[in-house]
Amino acid sequence: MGINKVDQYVKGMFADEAIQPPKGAENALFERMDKIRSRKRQARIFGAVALVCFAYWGSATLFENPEVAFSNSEQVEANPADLSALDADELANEMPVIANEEPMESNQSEAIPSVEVPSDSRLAAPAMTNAQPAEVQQGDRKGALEPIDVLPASPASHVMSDKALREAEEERWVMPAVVKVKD
Amino acid sequence: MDSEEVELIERCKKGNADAQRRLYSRYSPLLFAVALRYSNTRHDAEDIAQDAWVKVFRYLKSFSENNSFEGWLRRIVVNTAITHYRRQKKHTYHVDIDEVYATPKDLEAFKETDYNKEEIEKAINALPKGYATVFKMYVIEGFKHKEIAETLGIDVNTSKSQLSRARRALQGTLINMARIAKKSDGNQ
Repeated sequence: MGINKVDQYVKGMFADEAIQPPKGAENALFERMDKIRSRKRQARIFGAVALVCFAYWGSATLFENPEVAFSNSEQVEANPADLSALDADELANEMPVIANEEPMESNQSEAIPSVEVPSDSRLAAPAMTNAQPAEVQQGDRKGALEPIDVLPASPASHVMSDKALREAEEERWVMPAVVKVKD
Repeated sequence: MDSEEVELIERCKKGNADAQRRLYSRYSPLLFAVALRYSNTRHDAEDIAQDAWVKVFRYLKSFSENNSFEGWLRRIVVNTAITHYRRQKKHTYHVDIDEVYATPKDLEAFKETDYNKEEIEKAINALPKGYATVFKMYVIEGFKHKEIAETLGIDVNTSKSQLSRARRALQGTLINMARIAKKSDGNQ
């Protein structure tokens, strides 16, 4: 008798083998499956509740304490020590842009943003909001910033274009190089 | 697979409890028989069968109607049984001693009509565990050597050699059993 014949003979014996499982097996299986299903359901509900709680906590933190929410952002706060270093010339250079914005805000509705926003990122510093001076005023250097609001806008500042501002900036960058050559 | 079976499986996939019970009553005798074949005790077989059914319902969505459902069930039960015993570290795949190999002369004398199902079952169970498992997976369940190797975590060549040794050992065992039976008949 060959190998294949033996295999077929044995296979044929067990091919349709069927043994009835014990009676309680079916109920035990479906009870177990119900437990698994209810556990899954509970896990889903718990997950959803946890998510809602987290979202609620997150939104509460954001609205109630905005400075905490943005503490990790790239926002640069004004340091009073740095502000004291600003000389009168720099203040004069920054002044005109603020003076440009203020009349627009008074004339236009609050919903319309300022149109005269300089495209160069280096010139973004002068575009300070009203909130920033208010924060600084609470600090030690109240007097240092008060002139910004008090000083009248020079008539020439209205005419000063972006190009002129950029040229003024460039002059400042060139100056130390000229001093070195002289030495 | 007939259309009724396909429909039943589709309903089970959607989580219909009645369909699941119908599927269970239809295939539980087959599944339990396979579980019993790969387990040491009836109690183990019950545990294996239950674990296998949980897997069947969990992974039924991945079953494609183009394949044989019975074959898919068999694979799940065998895998479950092997995992069960591997966890308990009861299965060892080393070659046991006291193996009786059939000689070519014995093979010539081997006649299928000499043995009934119980005797063959007894002879298979008398084989070393590793041999018996490979033999049952290949001959009875219809696994390929590659599948056996993957399931048992052995090499394909090991699976082939174990099957070959299992066949010879089984025939030797059966012939020995026949000799013992003849002797006892002669004594009477």
